[in-house]
Amino acid sequence: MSEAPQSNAGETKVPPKLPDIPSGDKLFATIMGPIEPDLVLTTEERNAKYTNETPVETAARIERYGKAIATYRKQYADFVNKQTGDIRVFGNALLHDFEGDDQSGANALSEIESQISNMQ
Amino acid sequence: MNNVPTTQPEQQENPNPVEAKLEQQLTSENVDKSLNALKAEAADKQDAAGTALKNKIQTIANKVLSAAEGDITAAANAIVNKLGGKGITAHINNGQIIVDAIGAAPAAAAAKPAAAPELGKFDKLDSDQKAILEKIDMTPNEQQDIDRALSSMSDTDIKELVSVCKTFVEQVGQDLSKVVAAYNASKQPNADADAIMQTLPEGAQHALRTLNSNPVMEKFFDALPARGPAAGPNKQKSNGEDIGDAFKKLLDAFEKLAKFFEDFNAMRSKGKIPRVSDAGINDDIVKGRHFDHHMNATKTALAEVNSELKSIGTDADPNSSIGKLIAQSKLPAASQTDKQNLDQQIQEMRQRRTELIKDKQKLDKRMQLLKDNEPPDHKEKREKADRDAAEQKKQLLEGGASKVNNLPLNDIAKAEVSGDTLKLTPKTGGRFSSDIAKKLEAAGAKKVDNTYILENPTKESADAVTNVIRDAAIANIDKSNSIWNTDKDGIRGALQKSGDWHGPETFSNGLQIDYIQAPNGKFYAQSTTGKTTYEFNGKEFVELKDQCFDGASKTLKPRVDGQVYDKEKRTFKTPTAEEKKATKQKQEADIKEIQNRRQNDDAKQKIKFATNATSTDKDGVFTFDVATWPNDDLDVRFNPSLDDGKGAWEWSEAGDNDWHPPTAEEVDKSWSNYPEVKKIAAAMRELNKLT
Repeated sequence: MSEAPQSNAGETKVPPKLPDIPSGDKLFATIMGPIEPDLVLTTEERNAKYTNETPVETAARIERYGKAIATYRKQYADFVNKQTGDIRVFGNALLHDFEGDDQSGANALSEIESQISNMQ
Repeated sequence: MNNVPTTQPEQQENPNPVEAKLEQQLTSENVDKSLNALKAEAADKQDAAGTALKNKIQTIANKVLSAAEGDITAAANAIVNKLGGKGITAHINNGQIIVDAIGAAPAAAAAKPAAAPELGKFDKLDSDQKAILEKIDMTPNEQQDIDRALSSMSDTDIKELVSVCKTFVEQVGQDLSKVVAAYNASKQPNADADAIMQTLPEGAQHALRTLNSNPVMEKFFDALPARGPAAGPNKQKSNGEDIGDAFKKLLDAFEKLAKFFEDFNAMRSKGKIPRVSDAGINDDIVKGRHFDHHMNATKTALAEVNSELKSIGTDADPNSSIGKLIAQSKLPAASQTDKQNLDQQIQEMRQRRTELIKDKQKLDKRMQLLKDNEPPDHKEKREKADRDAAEQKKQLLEGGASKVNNLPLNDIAKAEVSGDTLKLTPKTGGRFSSDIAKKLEAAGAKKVDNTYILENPTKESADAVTNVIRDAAIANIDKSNSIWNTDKDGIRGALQKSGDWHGPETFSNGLQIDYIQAPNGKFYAQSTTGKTTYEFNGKEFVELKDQCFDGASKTLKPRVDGQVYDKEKRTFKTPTAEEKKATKQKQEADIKEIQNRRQNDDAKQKIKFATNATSTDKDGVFTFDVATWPNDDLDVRFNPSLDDGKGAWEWSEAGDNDWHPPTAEEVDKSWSNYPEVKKIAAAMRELNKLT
């Protein structure tokens, strides 16, 4: 969480960075691509790639796919967890950013920050 | 996407036992289904994440606004501008900050050179920019003003105007969202346009001044109907003076132009380009233009609207998004702040629902207009496509049911079609085994009481479900004692071929059989010569006496004398007169050949008798072992071309291929008075009698 801004007055503030929210397809391809490139191909591309495959080779490939899906699920869960954290951090950072614009409202903002945190 | 982990594949145990089981059951048939489920899950999650982020930003912005003191409008504008600087597009509505889009600020457009002046679509705008422009508020009256102004201008001026405004968009570049947000802010009551203008980056201000000083733009302002102090730039003021006033008017013009460029250009293309405004689209539809384009666009838009409406749901539905929020807000444990936040979310969701309902009503009307104005040829094509699709669906459903019901040794399930649903019921009553039930669920079937149903099946989903029953039936076939092993192989092969031929399978006696599952679901076996056809009666294959299986129609046909079997196509055909004639000629030739062979055989026997010599026979030439001769052996053959086509015997010294008529005299002369030669000469005389 190195991107989180410091909340104490006088410390250096890091501008809040918008969390990355890719499309479902893009997220799938980004995670799955390095794990099992076959699984980001279209069905047609995959079928064409294994036209002359024997049944034994097919079975081995499908088993490999199963393991790839298990690995994907783990990495997907990690990403979603991190993304949830990023959204929370961004919200807090944004609040601090506004707070810097209007120190007179510091108390009110602190209260809001507390409320927002409680909403997570 | 730097946050996405990119480690290499590794074996991971899925902690979810249900998912783990499904992964173990991954087959080549359900790979796509599994992947689609993962993608859908990711899409849902990312949509939810986007909404959560947007709500969070909006909540923070409004909380900050509520804490502001002094000039609330200025504070709101400052917040919107600040958000714009972070790539967040927002506007002010009824004193509330509404977040429109996140991460929409385009950076790439800033450095683009000015486009050459040409009439065309807003091709330099990317989808994000267009999305930003779509956020601009515009009343129907304002639209009419612009339309009227453009209509009064010459083609050349409009072309130039388009070019100027395109250049403006490119110059503003990544600040477009700020310009639009500032414009929206400037429309608020008592907005200070000058102050808003000053909040814009210098580049955007400069672009606005340039736009303001353009002569063709002035023409456009002149053509715009006057609407109070905001109509047209004040020509008495020099560039830079009272920019706020000019800014508002310029933006006013700019956003209207942006909205109308594409549509106006489309209108001027005389129907070559689809219109984009609501009125333009309706005009296209009524005039029969771009029907497919508008129909597809309307369908897509309706689907999106319906989907979002469904997602929000009704207040009374406890399972809807809004229903859940309402239920949550009523929980006694919720704090006052929580309740306020929830109420705000509920209110926003209701507003969104109201907007969606309006959109839906507009789209429904457009869909009706499309239906009322469907071109006749299109209607004909659509109706045919509908009929074909209905027929295809019927075949798919009935084919699936037939496939299951005609499976050999299927004691697992019976299938029936009910509307658009394929229904599977345990064949022996009761319920399916847990193994079959799990497989059916994994294949996409839904459990209803003790049955499983597959709604609106595709070929893939129908195959996946029926293959579960097929595989169970195959297991029964393997265990059967009444079916020959070769027939088992044939049935399994035919099942895999799904209606195509499998084979041949060869029995121990050399008989070769092809197997097929007919469209009616029954299994047939047919010898590769087509002479014998068998039908599977549930226990074994039995021979059909008077019928054969035709590969072309994939049905049984009466066996007809004289019909010929095409081994490759596995079809039966009654020959034409020419084919019959050719067959007859071939039969005659065969008979003659047989006669010749018999004659040869006779001759061979006679020569053997006359010479007492052994012989070999190759390609119609008899070589006699008369080793006592000086020249070893003697070749004899029947030459059908001799004697005016009647044929005659001739001889040659072995291997010389120098043939002579079989006269005893010549033989005598050739080899003197060897006794064997005399015997040969005698044999020749006998041969001559034969021919």
